[in-house]
Amino acid sequence: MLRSKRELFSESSTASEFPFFGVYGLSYRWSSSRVENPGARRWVLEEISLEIGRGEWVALLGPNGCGKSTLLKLAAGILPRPPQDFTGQVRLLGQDFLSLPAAERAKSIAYIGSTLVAEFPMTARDAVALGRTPWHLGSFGFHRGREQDDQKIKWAMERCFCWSLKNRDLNTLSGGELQLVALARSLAQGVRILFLDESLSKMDLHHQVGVGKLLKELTTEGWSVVLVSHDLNFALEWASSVILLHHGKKIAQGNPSSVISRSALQSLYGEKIKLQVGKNPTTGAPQVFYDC
Amino acid sequence: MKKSKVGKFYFISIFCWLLGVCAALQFGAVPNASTEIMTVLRMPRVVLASVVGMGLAVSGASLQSLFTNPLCEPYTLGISSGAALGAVLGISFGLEWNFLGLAGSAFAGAAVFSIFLFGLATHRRTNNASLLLSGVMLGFLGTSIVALWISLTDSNGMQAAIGWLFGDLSRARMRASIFIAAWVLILVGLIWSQWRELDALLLGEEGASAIGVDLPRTRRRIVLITSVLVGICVSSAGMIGFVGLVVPHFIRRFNGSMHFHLIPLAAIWGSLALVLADLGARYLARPYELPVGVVTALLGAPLFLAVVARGGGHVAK
Repeated sequence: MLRSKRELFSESSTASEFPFFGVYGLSYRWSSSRVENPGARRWVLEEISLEIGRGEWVALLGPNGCGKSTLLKLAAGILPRPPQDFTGQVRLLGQDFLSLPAAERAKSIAYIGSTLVAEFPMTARDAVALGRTPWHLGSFGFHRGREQDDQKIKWAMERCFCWSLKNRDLNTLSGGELQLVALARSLAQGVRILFLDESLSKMDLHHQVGVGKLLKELTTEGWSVVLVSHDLNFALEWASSVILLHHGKKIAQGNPSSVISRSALQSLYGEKIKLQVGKNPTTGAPQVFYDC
Repeated sequence: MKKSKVGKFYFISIFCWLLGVCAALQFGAVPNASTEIMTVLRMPRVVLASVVGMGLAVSGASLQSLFTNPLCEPYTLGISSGAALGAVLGISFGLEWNFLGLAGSAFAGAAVFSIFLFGLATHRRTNNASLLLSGVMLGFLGTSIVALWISLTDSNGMQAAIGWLFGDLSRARMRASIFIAAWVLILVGLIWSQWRELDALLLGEEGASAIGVDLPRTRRRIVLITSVLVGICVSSAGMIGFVGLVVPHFIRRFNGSMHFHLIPLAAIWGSLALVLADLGARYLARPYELPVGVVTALLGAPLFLAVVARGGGHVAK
């Protein structure tokens, strides 16, 4: 059913006639048991369609509760999709992505939330090693390629500036350090698409810029990144394109300087705050300022 | 943890286990026992205690991880209450003189409760929290029906039921013990084979799905295997608390939470804990015998509290 991994991602495969990753006509509402008043179930997402190219960095922006996280989780296949509450299709290189087994999905897309939770004692290296899980599910443990795993884990942790934390217990790490570990896990996962859901929000400036550079580098190697962030300036600085989401509907998509305007932002965040759109003096990327 | 350190831990664990088994065979109500007492009377008990302790500790470890809840133990899902209910019904129908009759009715009770839970776990939209809550409710239901039954019937057979409710290894016979041992080892092996999924579940439900774990399927499997395991343990040895709750936490403290090592180590230490508790139950108040479940709790609780109070770190988050 699934073409081999190498074929899927090789540059020369015939698959390039399909868009890299696409979401088509996706609508979703919470199932009745999860809202207080089942009669008033509104659609959280309505007819969302978008495509993401290979090597593209997309920033998904919108106010709280507009459905950004839900969209990412649905597209990654993490949320349950009861047929009466979900319609739409997700395609990876033309394949129906959501009908793939969970382990196959996790080899292509990594979803990273805003924090790494672990209820029981676990070292940072253990947490990153969990990223290798989808490649070994179903094999008991004496699999070949253990050394390759170790290399991949070390590579991921070094790239994410957390190799020095490898023997620390997760409970002793700060929020930003946990986010670095979570990012390292997704790199070790061997995917080509990263869904970052506020995953850089607690990092200090040094690490944010470092991770920004790292992700930019990965996009030149053919990875795609979707970033949900409320730090508009960070998102606009690095992203190659922007999608605006409002009340579960996509209202704009395009490159940052053409999409981001004062009126667009005020339709997202309301008229009450006074916004100005300027330019970063060194990079020329659009930046958002507000008056108090 | 370094590889050599894990190896040393395994070595020490197995050494302690052998010591414990030898001690349990050597000491008992009769001093200087003959070989016959050791092989005919003590051996079946030691085998049964060994495998029941193993089963309880392993199912405790896997349920704690499945629900990412440090308070889970084999009895949280209410399966043991089902077994208790079955056993009490069995006793009142006069099956208590036959080991297989009592164990059989207890197992039937456990099976009825497990089937209900399994049906719930199969439902796509059930999440872990509601499954756990339903298990706890089932437990209350079972326990209260048992209490009701005991308070309504006034017969001598109830003495046996009450003994059974606190754990009782005295009915062990060699053939039954070996039969149970075989089943427990198979089921523990099955749980061990799920170590990758269990590891992934440490990241929570969403985290586990994000790294490719088919959550409903894993949940079904773990619930099915642990219910059968707990059903076997409880129906053959009665309700023995504490081993399943505390042993996995001890191992987590010393060797982290990754299940490839956690499951076998919990198996060894759970086995040792119950063998020693059973030795205590036979030895401390000889010629009388204490209920083994009381011994596990009386010795285990202070030990665990002492370890936590010494501040050697946290048990869970």
